[in-house]
Amino acid sequence: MNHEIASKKINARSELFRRRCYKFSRNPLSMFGLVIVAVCMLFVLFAQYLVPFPDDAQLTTHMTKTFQAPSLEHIAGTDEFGRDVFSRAMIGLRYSLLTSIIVLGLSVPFGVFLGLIAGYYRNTWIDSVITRFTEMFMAIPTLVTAMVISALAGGGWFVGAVAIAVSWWAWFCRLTYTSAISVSNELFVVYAELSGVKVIRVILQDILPNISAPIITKISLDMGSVIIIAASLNFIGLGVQPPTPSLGAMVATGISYLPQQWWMCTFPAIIIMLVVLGFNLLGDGLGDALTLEVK
Amino acid sequence: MTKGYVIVLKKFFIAIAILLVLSFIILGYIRLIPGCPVRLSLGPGIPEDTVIRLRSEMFLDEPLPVQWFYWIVNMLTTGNMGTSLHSLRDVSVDIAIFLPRSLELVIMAAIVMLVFSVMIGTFSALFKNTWLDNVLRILAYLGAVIPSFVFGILFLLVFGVSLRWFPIGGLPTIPVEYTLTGMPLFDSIVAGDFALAGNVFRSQILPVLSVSVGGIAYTSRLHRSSVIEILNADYIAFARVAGVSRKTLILKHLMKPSFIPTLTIYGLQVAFLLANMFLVESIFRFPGFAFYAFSVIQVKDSYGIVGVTLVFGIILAIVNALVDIGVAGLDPRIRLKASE
Amino acid sequence: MKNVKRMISFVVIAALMVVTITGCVQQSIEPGTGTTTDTRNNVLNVAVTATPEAADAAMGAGENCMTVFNNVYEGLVRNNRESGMPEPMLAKSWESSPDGMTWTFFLRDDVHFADGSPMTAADVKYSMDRFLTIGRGQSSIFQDVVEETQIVDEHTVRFVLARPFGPFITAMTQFMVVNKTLLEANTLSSGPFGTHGDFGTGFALAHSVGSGPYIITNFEPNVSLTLTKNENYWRIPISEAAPDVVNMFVELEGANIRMLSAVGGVDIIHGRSETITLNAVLDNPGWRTVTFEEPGHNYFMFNTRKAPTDCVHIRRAIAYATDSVLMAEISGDMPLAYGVIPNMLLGSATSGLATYDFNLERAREQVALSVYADTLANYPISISNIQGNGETGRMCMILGESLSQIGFNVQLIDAAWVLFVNNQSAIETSPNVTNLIVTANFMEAGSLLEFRFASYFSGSWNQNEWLLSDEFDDRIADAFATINDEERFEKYRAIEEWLVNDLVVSYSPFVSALRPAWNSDVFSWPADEGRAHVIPTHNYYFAYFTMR
Repeated sequence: MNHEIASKKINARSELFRRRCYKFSRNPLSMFGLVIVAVCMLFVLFAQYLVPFPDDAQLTTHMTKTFQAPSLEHIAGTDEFGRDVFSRAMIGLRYSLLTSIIVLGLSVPFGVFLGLIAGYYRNTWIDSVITRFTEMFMAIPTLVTAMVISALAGGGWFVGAVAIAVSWWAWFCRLTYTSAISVSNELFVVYAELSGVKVIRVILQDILPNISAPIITKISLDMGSVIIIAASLNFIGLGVQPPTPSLGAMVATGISYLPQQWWMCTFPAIIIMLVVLGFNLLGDGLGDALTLEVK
Repeated sequence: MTKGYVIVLKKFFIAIAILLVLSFIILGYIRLIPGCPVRLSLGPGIPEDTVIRLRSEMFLDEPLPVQWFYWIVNMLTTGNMGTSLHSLRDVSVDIAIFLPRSLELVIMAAIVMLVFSVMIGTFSALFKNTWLDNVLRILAYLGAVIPSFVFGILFLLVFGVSLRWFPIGGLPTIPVEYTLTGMPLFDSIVAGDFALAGNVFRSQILPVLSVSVGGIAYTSRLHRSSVIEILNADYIAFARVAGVSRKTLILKHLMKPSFIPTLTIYGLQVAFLLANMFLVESIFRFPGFAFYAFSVIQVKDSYGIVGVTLVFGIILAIVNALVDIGVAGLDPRIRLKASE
Repeated sequence: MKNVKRMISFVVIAALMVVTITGCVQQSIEPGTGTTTDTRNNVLNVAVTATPEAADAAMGAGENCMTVFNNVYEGLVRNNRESGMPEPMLAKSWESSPDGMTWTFFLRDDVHFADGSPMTAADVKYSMDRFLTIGRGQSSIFQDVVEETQIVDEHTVRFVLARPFGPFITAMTQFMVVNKTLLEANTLSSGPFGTHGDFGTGFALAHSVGSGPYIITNFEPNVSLTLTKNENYWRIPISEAAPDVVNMFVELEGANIRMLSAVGGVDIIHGRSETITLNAVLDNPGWRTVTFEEPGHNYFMFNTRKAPTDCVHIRRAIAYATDSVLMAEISGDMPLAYGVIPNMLLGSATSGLATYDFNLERAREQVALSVYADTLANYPISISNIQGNGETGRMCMILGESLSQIGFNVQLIDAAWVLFVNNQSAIETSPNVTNLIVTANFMEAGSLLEFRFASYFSGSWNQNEWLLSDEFDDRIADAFATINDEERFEKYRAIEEWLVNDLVVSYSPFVSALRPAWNSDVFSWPADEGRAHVIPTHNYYFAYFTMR
């Protein structure tokens, strides 16, 4: 008897999973997002075998070929050292994406968790402590935090990513908090509370799924912001150091050569946008698919 | 029930206490960063006497609690927030110069963002799955994924260089005698100098647009989905059946509740704008608060950083409080619960 | 549905209105209004790399300050246009005692400051006392040199020196006279300078207090600065054609410089643009460029207290691995350097110095001689430059590539200015090699030698060598104490030979130069018509500009 119920449950779950997959795959935009993200991952893992000039990501200069416009040989032109912009951008994608993933991987769970707690226990001391703490972290400029962390932990892009995460979680906390407040007034939450469900389950099973849409949207949008912000950490020596490429730094350098040498910043900028677009579409698709409930 | 003003007073004092703690943390924080900021700002070949004198003048040679105490006493007695190593002026003077410029920009951007995101979101939802909706959605995607400084550059190239409608960055100098609030557009309008006001406005349009596009795209997407959700709600169907006119339906029954999630995100967007406007300010050569914040952080100017952080703290607290009040005003459930 | 249609038509009408308004805006625009609303015709817009720290002559040094201060302040002597030697300015003449310990200056009696108050010996004494007390800017030149300033009579002033100082009169070009009356009237009683209160520093932050042909009328540190013609300038009537207003604003972003020059929002662009940006600017009609050689070099500085550059053979190897010809070429065909002191400075060596032509074989030989011959890969060599500082990033990259070819483990650091300065403050954080431009404070080799290598200037951005050598300090002090010019110059040359041939602490690929771009349709610049001043910043003397 028990066994039967258990297998039925599993069946229901796998059925739901299949239906969610189906719904996801029927949406061309979501599939487009999935393809972009997959291609990104491919380049993250194997960029050096896929690009025409992998050496250009190392200490190499070709001073006779500087500032060449896009051509068949260099499809995205060459930069101020005569290096292939396409090769560098695709290899730079690795560091930029890793930075984004570290930042969001650290800041989202922490921020969302604190936001949920504060939202659930609103108007209590827990709420005030977390809210004030969040506001304080939001007020301290990212660069200052990064400088302090680099003073304590040394340089390198990984420390830089951690430093961004330290100031980034506050925004997720705030977003979750305000969204959670509305939802926690819903009847189903009150009902769950009254029927004696554990607090942690109420938060994770009843509140979190109902506020996940704005959080997922923000995560996918933040992929791009983090890449750009990471470039500004170069100011304090925490970014990726030359000659190693990173998309944010390539855009920042390329801007100086606009409008005549437009290819230097345009191509890396397009890559960033594609990455963000890919994660956005994927995020939206996942959000849609997840709203399917067991019937 | 506790009276309203008691709650407000209580909140106010808590906020003051938080800011004091924040200032202490920041002063301590800055001490962790290696290198003497005074020596850094003075340049090479400066006699040791000068360095020692400046350090003691700024209480940098004192232990942290003493420095903090002096800073507070100085602020309470004279209103000075310490000398900035960046500008050699008092930090409060700097804030009075740089903050209003950015605030004016942020206020304008906030209005643009609100109007356009609500308009686009509502239209998208009302015309769900038509060509208008699709076009708007694609635009919203693009707007959200393109960073604001890219818009800045594009706008400069198109409207500044090709069409020459707007200047390439910069902000006209506002005569000292006009200074009232420090907000350039407001001050020049109040002073009656409409030619100057026009020039100021022209140099503000492109930065405002480039910082708002991202926010519009993001917020309008959320607004669209919340309007759709409410359009499907039972009470709307009921109201339709009951013969409520479409105008009343949209304005009264739809707008207000659909606004709750939008307002939350919108508030965050505005707060985020102020903290992250640096790239746009630098592209437009706009000498605003983000520029100032970046400059003082670069030279590790203790009092400048404290001033900047406090201003951010105060503004974030205000924005968050406004959002909370706004959400409570729109959502009767929260209001009811709070007054229980 | 009708209501919705009405709403759409409303939106369309609103959009049309916006377009119409912007159309009107377009009509009212005239070129050249990028940063100002000034309606006067003679406005010159100048893009600079930085503003001075303050409008105060007692603060700040270097190119950005001098570009402004030369227009606003005047000294007792000034540099001659062709030779750079001191010539009379506010002083008619001067004499020194045979031992060089007292200098007497006879002042002109027709000088008055911008506010009309006459300049007397009291102003000169006040200026020197204030300069030394505040202790900033170029005051270090005079810090232990000037013992006392005496007022002999209303138009005679005497400086009593604490020690013999050969370059005194050359160095006096860096001393500027401020308006005592005006400053004292605006001095706050409370301040760090005892009875002097704040010594007028608060007032002088944003107000110029000099006698020059321009006055600072608007000053926002690190943002912008406005100079306005001094209508009652004492010396010569300033030409009507000279700019009435000069707007200087900080602009480092290459894209903005290109766009501004395309729409006429700027008339002169600072001399530190990258070659590619400069070329883009010069594509605009009317734009020209001019090259001002600076009294300084582009230096590769070797940290002598950090492995592996603590070995002289490694330093020689790096010098051999520096492709000077390529570097000079990409920096805009700069003249190649000889030694470590530019030949423009008095007392620089013109023969007898070891040269290190680009040769990787020689570099390998030197590496083989060094103690790190077998362990080179274990000692990463860090090469650092200041972010966005002209072509220095490219210099480091090119050197790095050569070094990695001969087996070095190269680490490049593209550091922001403040991080760079911060790294330079301690031996441990200083990189092995830095690349930047350093120029002399006054026109003698000793000025640059002292600034670059004296132990009391170490720990700042202008030194990465950490020479900390008593022998050097003694020798430069001995040279400064030599009153006879030729003897002193000989001592400078001996020091340079020692540095280049024996120590190899620094290698200069080329002589540095400013390459400003300017719009010849807007004004004519004497500097581009064969009348350039030997000191680059003096070419920004706006009173000599002719607006078209």
